[in-house]
Order: sequence, then C-alpha cells, then structure tokens
Amino acid sequence: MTQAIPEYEVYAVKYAERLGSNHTTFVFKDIHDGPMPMDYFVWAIIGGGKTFIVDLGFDRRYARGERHLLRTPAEGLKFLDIDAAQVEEVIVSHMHYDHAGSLPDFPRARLYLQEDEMAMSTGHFMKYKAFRHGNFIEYTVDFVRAVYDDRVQYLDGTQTIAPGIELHRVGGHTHGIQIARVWTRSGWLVLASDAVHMYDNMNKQNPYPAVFNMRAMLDGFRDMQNLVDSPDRIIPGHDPLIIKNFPAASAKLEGKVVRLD
Amino acid sequence: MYIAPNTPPTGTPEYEVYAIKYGDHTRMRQDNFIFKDPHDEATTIDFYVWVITGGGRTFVVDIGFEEQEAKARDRQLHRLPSEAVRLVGVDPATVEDIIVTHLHYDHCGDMSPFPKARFHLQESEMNYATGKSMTHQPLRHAYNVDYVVNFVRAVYDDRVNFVDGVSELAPGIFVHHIGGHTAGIQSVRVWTRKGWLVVASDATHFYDNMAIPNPFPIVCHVGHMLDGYETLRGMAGGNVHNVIPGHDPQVLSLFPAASKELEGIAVRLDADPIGDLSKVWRES
Repeated sequence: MTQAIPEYEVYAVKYAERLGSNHTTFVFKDIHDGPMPMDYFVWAIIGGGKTFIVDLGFDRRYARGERHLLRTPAEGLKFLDIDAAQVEEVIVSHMHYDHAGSLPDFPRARLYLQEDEMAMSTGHFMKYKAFRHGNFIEYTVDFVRAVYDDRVQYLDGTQTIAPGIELHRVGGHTHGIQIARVWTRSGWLVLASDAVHMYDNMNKQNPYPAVFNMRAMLDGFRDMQNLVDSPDRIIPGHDPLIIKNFPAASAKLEGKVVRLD
Repeated sequence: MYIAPNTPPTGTPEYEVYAIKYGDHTRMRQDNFIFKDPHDEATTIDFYVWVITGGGRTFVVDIGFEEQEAKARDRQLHRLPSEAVRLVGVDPATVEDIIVTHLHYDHCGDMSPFPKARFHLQESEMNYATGKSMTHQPLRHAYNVDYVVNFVRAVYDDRVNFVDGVSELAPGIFVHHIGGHTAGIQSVRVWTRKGWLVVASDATHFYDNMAIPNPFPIVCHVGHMLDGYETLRGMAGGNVHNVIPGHDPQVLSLFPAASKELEGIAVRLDADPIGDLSKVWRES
C-alpha cells in the first residue's frame, strides 16, 4: 500500500530587500554596471497536515548597512497565519546570515541541515574573510547550541524527509548548501535558495560571485534541471522577479507573499 | 606507525616540559577501562595542564576546566589551569600559543585568562564537536557546549590555527592527529634533553590503558584508539618510557618535582625519572 503524496502549497515570503548592482550579482562583469535589486525570502511548504519552513532569514541582531529588514521572518509568516513559535520543521538551506538567522523565534523547530555546512561554518575556511563574511557568529553559535539541544537533524547528501519533500545537497555557493524538491499540484518544484540567487545566474551561466566551489555550483545548475519538468519550476533565492511573476497569496499580500505552486 | 627521526636538525632547542595538576576526582578503577578487570577499587584520576618552554617560546598544552564546570560535574578543582601555569613561571596574559589536544570539558575550559593566545587544534576535532556525533548522548557527554561555543567564536576572531594531521608548530614541537578517544584528538611530540617526549594527553589516559592494552571507555573509535597507542610509541622513537599519559596520578611520583614547594603538584617531564618506569609499562 502506498501512502498518497500530498500536493503541497508553497509560498515565498519577502522579508527584506537591498539595492545591489550587476557587478555584485554576476561573476562575469558587463562594462555597463547597473542597479540590481535583491529580495530576501523565507519559504513555507504546507500540506499533509504539516508545515515546513525553508530558512530563517535574519533578524534585528544582524545590522549590516544596506540590507533593509522589512519584517522579521516570523512576522512575515504571520501573513500566512503561521505562528513561528509553533513551527516544528525548518529546512536550513545553508548557514549564511540571511538564511540561518532568527532561530530564537522558532523555539520548537527541528532543523534539517547538511553536516558539511556546519563543518564549513565552524572550520578552517572561516579564516578567509571571503567565506566568513557570509556567516554571522551569533547565528552560527545558535546552531551549535541547537546540536547539543538535539534539535538538529543532520543530513548527508540526498534524503526524503516527508512524502513529496526531498532535500538534495548541491554545494557550490557553500560547502553544504541544499535545495528542497517539493511535490505540488503543478508537479515538482525546486526551492533552490542560494544554489541559484537570480534567474540570470543560471540561465546565462553567469554565477553569483559568492562562491565556494564553482564546479559544484555549475553542476548544481545542471542537476537541478533533472529534478523538474521545466526550468521555470526552479525558484531562485533572491530574484525580485519572484514577487512580480507569481500571484500574490491574497490581494492584501500583494508585494509581500506569493504562491509558487 | 610513525617513527620519529632520531635527532632533529642542529639548533633545535631542548625544551623543558612540565605537568601541573589542577584537579582530581575519585572513582572506581572499572570506570577507566572498556574491558572489565576483576580487581575493582577506588582510584584517583588527576587533571593536568602541561607547559613547554625553550628557544624563547612558551607553549601551554590544554586549559582544563573552571569552577562552574567543576561544580556541575563534582570534580575537585585545586587551582584554575591559568593559575597552575603560574606555578612554573608562566603569565597566562602573555601566552601566545596553546595546543588544544581535544575539546572535552577537562581540556579546553579556562580560556578567558589567555587573551593573547592562538589555539592549535585539529579541524577534525571541531567537526566532531559541532557535527552529527554530538547528536549521540554518550559522545556528547564529555563536551560542554559553552566551551565549544568559545572556540567557534575564536575561529571567527582569527585565533584558531587549524591543523590537519601532523604539523611542526616550532622547531622540535610537533602535533600529531591520533583520533580514537575523540575524532580529532592530537598528541604532542617535543624535543628534550632525553630525546623525543610525547605528551599523549587522552590518547592514553593511564599507563595501563596503553600498557595492557585496555582502552578507556569514553571512545569514539576503538580501532583508532588502539592504532593510536602504536602511533604514540613511534612518536617517542620507540622509547615508550617517554610517553606521558593524560590523567595518571603516578606521573607525579615517577618524575622529579619542579621544585620542593611543588611536590605533588608539578613535575619536570624532561628530567630523568625517579620511579620505575619499566614497572608501570609492565615490562617486568
């Protein structure tokens, strides 16, 4: 007897924004630099009686200049009637500050994390500013404490964590970054998080400059194609087109929350 | 098995090496061995830090635990590790190099009195102390998350020199990855007037763990622990008498006190032994 696989609803909740530029978004620079805004999201996967949150964004403890926090991830999830304090499952794509930041708002959550990601975030690569810059020590410490509190579910590679929800380690951007593949009414959807920052990083084969292993990042672009029926089912982690191209979750949530499935 | 060279290059300092006791605890002999021994009795486990001086430099090996942890685990703390090093003339505020053999609570806790120190640590130990192994209570038990967090912060403060395997930290001072007791434990090999001396730390807790051999029961990988005993022998150039266990009270009576006042507290490990080492190594 096979268990029915739920068709999950998937939402992107915008919680912050920043005015970047083409030169900060692509490895291969165009002579003509221009503005390239960047959105910051957390995602919610709802179905089969369960709620999975993907990533924890950052909170008010993180104060670095030009990133404008519109609302904390927990406040953003309230738009979907999700109470962060009650959330039990959080998938953490990677431990960069803008994805692993508001753990205290999710006191009951179990964290799905690749062990390689913790190894990078606490190991010798943190001596290089280029890598350390993406992490924030307070958030890293929150995660180490979560390990000792039995709240981290470590993964190594690919694993199905619920019927119709698979996590795949892709690496590239960081050593242990993972993506979520989710079954929906419109087929398989991939929440790529920062395995793909912007559509153009993947579509133009012009990667985002924050990269640990370029080969793995490019492999990831290719391998993700095999996890979906068409490339538009891959959802990048920071593209402002997400809010423009997908329908708002409701009229009131225009510009804040979109429905990806 | 690693065999150390007979002699290091000319000009390598002959270091002085001290073991200084900072605490102890009484428990049953059975608690120290994975394979039970018919003779059970109350035994003492000593807690040490070690100091290596020479060539104008000072290396501290491990920094023990502090009051809070002593209370939490009901261990006797006779003096803070940072106070213990003062007994042999080392000012913790000026120490620049600390070798951390592993991140168990009794080896890495008294960090704040050493503000200038850089910590030499195997990366595999940090991976172990923050990774999947720590989801197992028996492996996690000897770690203190606050101490681990202090070291993660030290990484971000550029105060950790991560080692992968073997590294020469100064002429005649090497660290060697051993594993076994924890995934990333390392031991220290140092050149002295009597040849290569091995500060094993918890690669062997007591003489008997390695001499019988009968491994210590807090262990990540028994095969690596047994292999580690062979590595320690090799590091000592085959002279097992120069291997110093990490917690054995006999160390304080086998080697001469650093001074008369330090009888029973601190010994000179690079000096000739005053006790019968062939007996503790079960050679006779």
